[in-house]
Amino acid sequence: MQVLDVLFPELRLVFRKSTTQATPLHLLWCFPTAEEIAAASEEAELHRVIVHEARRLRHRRAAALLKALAQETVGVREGVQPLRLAQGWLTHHAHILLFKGESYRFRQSQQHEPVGTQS
Amino acid sequence: MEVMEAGDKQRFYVGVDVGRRQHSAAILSAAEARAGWERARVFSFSADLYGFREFFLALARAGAGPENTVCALEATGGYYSQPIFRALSERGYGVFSLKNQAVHDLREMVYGRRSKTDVEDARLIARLLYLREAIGQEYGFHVVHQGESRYRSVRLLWICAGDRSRHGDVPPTS
Repeated sequence: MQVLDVLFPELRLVFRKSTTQATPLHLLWCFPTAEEIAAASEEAELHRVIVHEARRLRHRRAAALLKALAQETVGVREGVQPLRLAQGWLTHHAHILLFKGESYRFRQSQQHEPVGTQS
Repeated sequence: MEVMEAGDKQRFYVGVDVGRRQHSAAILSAAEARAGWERARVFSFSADLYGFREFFLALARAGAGPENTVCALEATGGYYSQPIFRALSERGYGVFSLKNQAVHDLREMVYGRRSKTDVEDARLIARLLYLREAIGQEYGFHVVHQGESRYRSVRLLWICAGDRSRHGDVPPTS
């Protein structure tokens, strides 16, 4: 997500594969800015969001790194309200796309289920 | 390395070519900017906390402090140039945002019509800074007005609004 390269460029150091996958999107949904990530408590909030809610156990060690990077980020801080709006809009639509993709794949799997498994 | 005499304030010219994930910086001393700038070393760094640390360390190692250094970025970076612009300004460096035409013109004059590279652009930006100081108005370049954040905000909102209307979409309520 290009707007992240201005607001919080270090996020890609934590989510190396992509910042538009389910876990980073869920994180940005809960904490839209680096300041909010920096202010969040590591165990109670960040860990809950990226490990329990997003169900990604491999990110269990990422909470501490994420918080440290958010505290020292070089991202822009002033005049970020429109960027936050843009990011919120993009996150909203990416969520919808992910959800629709999931439900579509679920429907497809129901339709093409082998005959023997239905009995 | 050049040995500086006591009291000699060596001037540095820093040209930064802005990219989305990576920036390239040419740190030229006045002597380098005068002759041999085409072969000057260009330093690439990532556009994040660690990359910026390396960049400012390289500036410190070269002896380029805020009092004897002038920096310039090409404005094509748009929003991508904001973090490095802010980081340099916060540390007290003088920073210009150049119009692309100035770099384009000098590139054509020096290299002719051939494909551009980030490394060449970083050197050209630093050389432009030197020419501006050494020769003056003849090599003057237009500086892009960064604008107040609220004006940049309005521009971005306009772009977002355009996207929404094109897709016939409703903005999120949160």
